Amino acid sequence: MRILVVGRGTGEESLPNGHSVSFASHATSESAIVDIQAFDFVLQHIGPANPEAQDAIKHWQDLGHGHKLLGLTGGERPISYYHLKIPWIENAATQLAVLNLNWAAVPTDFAGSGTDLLGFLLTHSLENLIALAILCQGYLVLNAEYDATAHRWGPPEILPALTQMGVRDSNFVRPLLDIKKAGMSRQEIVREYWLKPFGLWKEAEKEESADDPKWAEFERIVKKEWGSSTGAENDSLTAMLTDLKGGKELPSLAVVADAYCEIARRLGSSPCVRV
Amino acid sequence: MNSAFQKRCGEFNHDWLKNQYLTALGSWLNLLDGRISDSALERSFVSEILPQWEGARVQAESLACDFEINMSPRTLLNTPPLSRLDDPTKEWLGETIHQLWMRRVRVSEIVSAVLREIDGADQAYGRLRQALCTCSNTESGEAMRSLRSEFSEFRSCCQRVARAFELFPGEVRAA
Amino acid sequence: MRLPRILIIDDLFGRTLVGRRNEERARLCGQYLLKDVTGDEEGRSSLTINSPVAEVVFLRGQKPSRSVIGDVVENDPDGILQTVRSGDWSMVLLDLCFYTGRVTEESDRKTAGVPKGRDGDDDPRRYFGLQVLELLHREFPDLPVVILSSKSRNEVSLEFSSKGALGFLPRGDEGSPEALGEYILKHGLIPDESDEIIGNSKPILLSLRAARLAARNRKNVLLLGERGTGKELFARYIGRHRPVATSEFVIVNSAELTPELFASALFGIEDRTATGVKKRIGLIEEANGGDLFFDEVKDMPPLIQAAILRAIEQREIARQGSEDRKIQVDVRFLSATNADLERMSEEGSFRSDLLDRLRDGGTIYLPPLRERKEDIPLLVEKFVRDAESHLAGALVRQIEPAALQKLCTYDWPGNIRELRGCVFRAVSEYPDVEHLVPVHVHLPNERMSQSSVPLRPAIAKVEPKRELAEGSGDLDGLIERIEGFQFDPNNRGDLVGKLTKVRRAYAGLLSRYLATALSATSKSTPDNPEGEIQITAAIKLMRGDKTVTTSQAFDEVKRLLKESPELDPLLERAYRYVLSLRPTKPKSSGKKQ
Repeated sequence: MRILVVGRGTGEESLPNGHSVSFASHATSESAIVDIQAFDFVLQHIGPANPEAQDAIKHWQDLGHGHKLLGLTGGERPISYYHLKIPWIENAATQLAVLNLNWAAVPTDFAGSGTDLLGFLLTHSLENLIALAILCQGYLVLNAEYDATAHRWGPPEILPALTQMGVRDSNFVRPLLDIKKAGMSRQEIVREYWLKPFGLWKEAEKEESADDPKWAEFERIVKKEWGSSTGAENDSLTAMLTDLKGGKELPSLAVVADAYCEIARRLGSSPCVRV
Repeated sequence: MNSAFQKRCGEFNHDWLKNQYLTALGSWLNLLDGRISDSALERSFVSEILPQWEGARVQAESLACDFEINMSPRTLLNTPPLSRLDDPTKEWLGETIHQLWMRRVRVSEIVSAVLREIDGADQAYGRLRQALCTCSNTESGEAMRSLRSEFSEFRSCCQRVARAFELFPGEVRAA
Repeated sequence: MRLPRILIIDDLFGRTLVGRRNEERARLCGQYLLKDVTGDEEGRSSLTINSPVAEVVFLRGQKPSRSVIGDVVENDPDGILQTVRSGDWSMVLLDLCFYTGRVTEESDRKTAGVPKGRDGDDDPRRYFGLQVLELLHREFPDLPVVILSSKSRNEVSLEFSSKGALGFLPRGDEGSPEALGEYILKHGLIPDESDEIIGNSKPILLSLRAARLAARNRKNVLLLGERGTGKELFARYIGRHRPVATSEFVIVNSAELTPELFASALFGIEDRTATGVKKRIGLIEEANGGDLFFDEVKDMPPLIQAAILRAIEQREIARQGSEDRKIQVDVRFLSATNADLERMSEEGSFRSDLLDRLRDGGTIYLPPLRERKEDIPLLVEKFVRDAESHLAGALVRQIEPAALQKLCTYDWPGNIRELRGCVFRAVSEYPDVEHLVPVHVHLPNERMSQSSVPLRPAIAKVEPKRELAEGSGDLDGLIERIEGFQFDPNNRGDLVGKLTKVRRAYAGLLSRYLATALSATSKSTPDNPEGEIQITAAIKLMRGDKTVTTSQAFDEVKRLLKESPELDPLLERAYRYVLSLRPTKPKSSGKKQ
């Protein structure tokens, strides 16, 4: 698909799935409204910076291109634009915000309307949160200990997480993991376990830098997958990533357990029950 | 991520069982009760629609047996980002999360429940077919009115199969 | 009786097939006893529904509606909105999962015309049905939408609830026509099947729905409406729709009872041999097991209010002359008034605790006739026929459109009762004609209303800039004077009865402030050269706060105008506009309108 984005700077970018986007700062060129025949969709910013926008939209609608049009704002859609009757993308204040919409989800043979396109753009996959949840499980099971006297797993601060994951009895897969634990006792192996899936582990140097732009990108992606946060709901996940980024410390079992519970809740499970 | 298994499951339970077979059974019972008349349904129900169960039963059993291996979170280790781990790690981690999932989701119980309902429906189908052998005209709703309870019992069993399939998680669950 | 008309939006059942019937659709209709009136299939169907639950129009919700091998099928939300706009629907049943993509030979073989589907089509987070639900709820907040799906309810229960669906009908369950019928009765916009309450307009259908929901339990209900809007008829309607039938329906007309007679009328009198008074059962006891309808409850004397409150709380009464002998009662109180009981309770003339009890099952607002003028033709038809049957020798007449048009120009402050009187006079004064024409219709005062069609929420246009009145302008000075104003406790005469006036003056000041801010911030646009109001901008101006969001601004407008005694056209339109986009939830719990 070819997308035109008006009002978010200039340039050309390739999108996932082979789609492409052209950026233009205004909908007019040499006093004439641009021809959008060649584009599949047009995202038009509407606001003081684009005073020509409403005229352009009307013009394109009159030419029969109404189904291609989406409105774009940096914040909430202004009420005075409700009458335009086009679908809206809100809170897309920058070129990057537009590029970060979920273009990867839009099929290559998509031929629907702008309203239908919105359904793809506004949802996101959770592959990194899922991966972190799995890594937490492996790490916690590896480091858990069974108290034969109390007949339960521990240490106590990770018990809610273990129970949530499905650790039930003393015969649980533990014997198989004793061998693996020996191999996982070295810090660099543990760090490789956590960082390699996300492209943060540098094989040659066996160390990584917290300043590496890949860390910033990874944190940004995790934040995007998490969605809007209201307070302390992912404090432990943040702490765990900070510990990993720091390079010196391994995240503590308690932090990993709490991070697992947070991610599990975010992925739709019921909360871990505190004992 | 929608796996091939999830597609198969959806095709069986949603596309066929609920959207087609159960609506046909519901419509048929209303016909036997005199609430509707539909000559096209009368002609085709016993000969074409009802026997669809036979092939569907095999499909349903296959789905139940394939559930564990296809919906285990172990499959997530085959795709990025976790596919970047080395093979030994993937092996022990995969086994760990698989065992956790088996216990957390009570997979064995769910599979047993589903197979039980499939078997129950199949037995009800057998009884219905036997009763139909005594029927002089299987293209007349009126002639089959006396078999309403057998049809109703079979429909109830099929509804239980549909509900049992709802026990299968709709996606691979990592946590 | 007219069947409810339902729109079913579903990719499988809504698709049109070339040259043959949609078998899946036929079976669905057979299962739910639905009469298909879509009209997109050629030839005559072999399916006949003997007692249909509803008429149904099917909509695929995708383009093309008729697809063959090779076609690419896409979702069509704009087409859906267009269809919903074009009809009067009792209810919409909406599927969740819509398959898109190319129709292949394999997919067509499985189910004709259905595409193979794309990744994400059956991802619960991306169900097209949930997107449609959101669009419908935004544009048609009063339209009842119920999910009808074979997908698991658990996957989407939070989403469909928060996006405005009223329920979830799982496909394939037993007792389907009954389940659907129950949903229609509970949530559908359907008229009164007994034709006692006449009307097909949305305001009256919403009130009827609220009444049916309220009828489902034994809690007390408050009916609010102007005079002549049919409060008693609504109370009877609630009585008819209770889950367990009962014939006890007793009416108390508070305005006809003197304070002295109230107690004996309501609670009854025990035998008093000394005075010769015979035992009389009170109205509450008479209504035991059923409903007691209090008309004009605002006229209930304070002492009686206290006694009624006790009766409601303790579910027992005592007859006069036998105060020690308690009688258990199980009565639902249906109260009606045209007064602002909330204000009366703040002023102390109506007990607030009694008010809370009287409306603990909900408050139902009866629309005035001027808000449902599209029902006038139906009402006139009924009243003309009633008049003809009552007036011996009156001819049966045709009601001419011009006469109806004239009747629609008036606002009917006396509502249905006034309209009935006018029509009755038209028939009785002209008994020997075959046509009811404008000259027969004498409107009270021959006063014309401002519009002949019901007002609808619309983009509000601003009035031309107002001329400043004398004495206006110094708002800071006014605020200073208000803050400095002192009440004199020694001058009781000056304190008596001023609360309502002060409140009105304050509310009027705020509404004038808002109107002026709207005028000051209005903006000319190509579509509205006279000026279009900017609600958020006006509130930002009034608050001096640039961070105000649209939803905050709307809520502020509702607060400012809620208490206003009367609104000029600008504020009226602004208020309706705000309410249309951000409706107010009813005050009592659990009852939707």
